[in-house]
Amino acid sequence: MTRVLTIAAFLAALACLAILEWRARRPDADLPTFGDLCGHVLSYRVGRLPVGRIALLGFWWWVGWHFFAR
Amino acid sequence: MEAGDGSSVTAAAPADTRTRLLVAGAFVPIALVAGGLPSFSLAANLLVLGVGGALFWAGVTYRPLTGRSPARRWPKGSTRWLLPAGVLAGMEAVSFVLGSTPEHPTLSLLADPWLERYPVRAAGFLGWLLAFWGLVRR
Repeated sequence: MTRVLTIAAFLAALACLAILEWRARRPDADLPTFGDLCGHVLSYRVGRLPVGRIALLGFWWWVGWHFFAR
Repeated sequence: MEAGDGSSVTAAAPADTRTRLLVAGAFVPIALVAGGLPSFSLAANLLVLGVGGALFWAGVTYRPLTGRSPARRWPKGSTRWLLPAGVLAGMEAVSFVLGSTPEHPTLSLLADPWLERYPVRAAGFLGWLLAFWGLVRR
């Protein structure tokens, strides 16, 4: 039972994210797309150090390793 | 590209298409190879760490030619993403703490049976590489 509930919660959250992205891409949207949010994080710097790029691309690298290498 | 005249904008379109073809031509063969490498194999680790590491370094050192200064404020409406993203992250964290068992599966445990199939694994790897391309252009 908990397995079904867990999967349902994951699917509900993913569906909500998809709906938000769909709404954000409409011409009269009042919220940013997921790409806009990523762009904001990527632009974050501390001095000359691109902290946002290191964090987000590091997370991307880890996701690939986690799903495709182990 | 940002000169503001029409000719430079129209000239950018073929270059953009060429870049996309170049990226697809480089990423597709890698994904086709990666799709055949099983989890926990040395080859899979080397490929992900090698390709991922090279792209990570390229992405961190690349300076996008957007001409924009870093934004200080989050875009308006950003907080609406917090609830579904928080639920997803929270469920993942709870399942991980509970041991990622069949009764409390994490996303990776749910994805594993699918990723054992070659077409899904290759497509997933291609999606991972294209996600990099989507990120690094921003």
